Amino acid sequence: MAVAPPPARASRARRKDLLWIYLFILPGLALTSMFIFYPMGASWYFSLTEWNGFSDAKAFVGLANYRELIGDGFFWGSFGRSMIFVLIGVPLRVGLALILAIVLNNVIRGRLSTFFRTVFFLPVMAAASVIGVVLTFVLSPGNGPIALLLETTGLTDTPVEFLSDPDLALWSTLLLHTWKNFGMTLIYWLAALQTVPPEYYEAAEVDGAGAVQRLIRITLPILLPFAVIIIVLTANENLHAFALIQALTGGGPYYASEVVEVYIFRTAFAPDAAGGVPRLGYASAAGCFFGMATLIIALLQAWALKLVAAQRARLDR
Amino acid sequence: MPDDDARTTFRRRSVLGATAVMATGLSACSVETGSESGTEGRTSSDFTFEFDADATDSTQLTWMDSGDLKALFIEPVIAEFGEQHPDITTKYDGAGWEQVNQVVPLGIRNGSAPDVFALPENVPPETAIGEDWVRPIDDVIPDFEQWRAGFPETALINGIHVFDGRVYSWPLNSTRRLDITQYISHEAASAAGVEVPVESVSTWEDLRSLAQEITATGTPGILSTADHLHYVVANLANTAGWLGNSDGMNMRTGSFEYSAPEYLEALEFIRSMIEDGSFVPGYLTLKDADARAQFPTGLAGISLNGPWDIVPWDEDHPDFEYTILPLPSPDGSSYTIPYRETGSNMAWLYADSPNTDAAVAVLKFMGTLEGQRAMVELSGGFLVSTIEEANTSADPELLHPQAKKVTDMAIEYMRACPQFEIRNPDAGAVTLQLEPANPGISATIEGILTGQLPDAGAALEDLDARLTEAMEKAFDEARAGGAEVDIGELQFPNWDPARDYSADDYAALGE
Repeated sequence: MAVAPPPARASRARRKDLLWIYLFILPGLALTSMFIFYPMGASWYFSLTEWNGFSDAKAFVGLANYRELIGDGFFWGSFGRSMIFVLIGVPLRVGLALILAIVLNNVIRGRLSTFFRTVFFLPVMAAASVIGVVLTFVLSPGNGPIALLLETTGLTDTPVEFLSDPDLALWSTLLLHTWKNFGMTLIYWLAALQTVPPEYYEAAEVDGAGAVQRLIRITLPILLPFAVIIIVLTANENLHAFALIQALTGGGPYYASEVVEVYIFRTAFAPDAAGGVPRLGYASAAGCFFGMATLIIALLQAWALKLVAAQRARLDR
Repeated sequence: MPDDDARTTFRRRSVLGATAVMATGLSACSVETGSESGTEGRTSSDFTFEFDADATDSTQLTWMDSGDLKALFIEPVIAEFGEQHPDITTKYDGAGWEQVNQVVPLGIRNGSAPDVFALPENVPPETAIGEDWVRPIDDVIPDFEQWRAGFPETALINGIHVFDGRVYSWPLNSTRRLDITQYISHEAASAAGVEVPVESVSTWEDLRSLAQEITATGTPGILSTADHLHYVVANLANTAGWLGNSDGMNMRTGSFEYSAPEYLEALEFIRSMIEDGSFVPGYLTLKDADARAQFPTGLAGISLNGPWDIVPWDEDHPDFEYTILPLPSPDGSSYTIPYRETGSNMAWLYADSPNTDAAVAVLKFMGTLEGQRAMVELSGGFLVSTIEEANTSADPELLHPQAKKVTDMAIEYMRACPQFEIRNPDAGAVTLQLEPANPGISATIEGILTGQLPDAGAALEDLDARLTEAMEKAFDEARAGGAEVDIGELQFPNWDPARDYSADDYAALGE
């Protein structure tokens, strides 16, 4: 039987352990502070200034940037498009990825399953900006392969302007973003599916449960906690569509595909055709405002899912 | 030349080191420089640098700008300076605007900016000066007044090159260059049954018909990109008598006139060709570099663009044949296009450069008659000097066959319009306060053509109103800051668009 050390010695040992723990945490903490906490804090400060980003002249303007932002129709337009990316893009990607994950996990087995996983994950590996540039050629309505395919098969008699038609541009970028990141969500679901104990399925089969019943009664309830995480991660990814959209459309035509990230970039860095100077302070305000808004949405989402889980627990009892 | 003279010269008719420069367009695109392509830059000028290697702390010369056509001149000059002075390491970086926009501010922050650089696109000169990024050149260029006297009287302009009486930069080349002309592919025109070279496309209807004929053969008639479309509309509006300059301002009335009938007429004409199906599909997302690369391979029949495309076509598609014609006017009558002679491609001297002597030696040579002639010759004549003698004395054998045509067209159709900067030395204070209209003209045109802004007239009136409001605010703020400016100084009632606005005209304003 182990004998506990005297209290004083235990406390010393604990302090020593804590010292080592903090020592090991220190490098990570320093880097995180430098590259995450400091920029975040600086952004909040910059958002209260009128600053072009390269001069020392920072004029403190209080909440003026936020007031201007609230009255800026272009900001709200981009905010709405970002929400479309979340509210439509997330269910689309999460739902499709779940279906495919179940198929790859339960129906297609062996090497074929590995092949499909690899194929769907490949776009995730490629840089978004590179994919964007390549896709502009692929989708070119003049001489792109998609346009030629649609024409030769007789599906269309005029070129489809996927990226330059204001009615299509946003949806095209959303679908392409979904395709590019689909593999990531698929991997999440496949990992989650690995946690379902096979004995449950075996027992259900013995009880005579069919495939659909096994899915509804076993798979989905077990996956629910993972769904919360996967939805949050996917929503986060869908709010980071800058590189792909910038490469595909630059937010155009006439802001039709401009999400908040592109709006921030345009305001902060993009030189205006009229020779305007960048507004880093205003762009920071847009970033902070949007960050807060998405945080609130994420908290609401988590709260709603928690309610659902609690409701289920009550029903189970 | 005596041996002990600090100046060194490169022999006449020299064949310079390899200069592989893909000359590119207005937009911020990358340029390959310095690779061994075998392209030989020839010039009849002496490369004379006033530089004493033994009496300087300079160890290197680094130069960064956007590349483009000017790289055909700047790169060999810097390379030659390095050859003449082996102790000086030279590097020219013409990697495009994106690189300039990122690298220069970063270099300023950490004290390692290039010795000479182009200002980032979104940094006004006043800011660069106020932040001590750059330094004046009038006290470091030897015999400065004599050097300055080589330029025309109005070449160095307050608020553009001169600030608070100090000269910070100078125009490498003239802005007298037609941004938009017709480049008609012979292959596309022939396929449409049109005789080549195409002799005349003088009315808007001629252009529309030709575009329709080419489109009927399966090749889109018109190539233009979203980035350039507002230049196309503005130039077409000028052919219809619109007096707006590149900022949309009529310098006679001093007011923004994007909503003028002629401008709307030009916009409607473009829209009619789009509705005909004559425009290249996807023109709104087509990148300039891609358009340039694909035009010779049959992307479209008529490109509405500028002369910067010619050199890359020569290099990549030497067999590509085309006709260059000026823009047509509505009824074929003659017209003029107002332009502001502010000079192009200004270079700025890094304030903390330890290599000022080397930088100044090169800058000084570039601004001499010899240097400017070398620029004209090395660019094949596509870069036009503000020093007329440099243009006229350039060796015709060294000029590109199309360059004279393009230059003559610019002389025939372009007229210098009045400039507030020349009229009032305090103009720079207004420029510094001027906030851009958002959305600007380029985005507004995009919105109109895609139907997102269904009422073109109302959208352009709104733009005019926002531009006017921004201008009035800028004047108020400039005055509050002590500048002696009046918004009435934007009006030049004695401007005759048919001729160049001269120093006498400024004097005649009675100021």
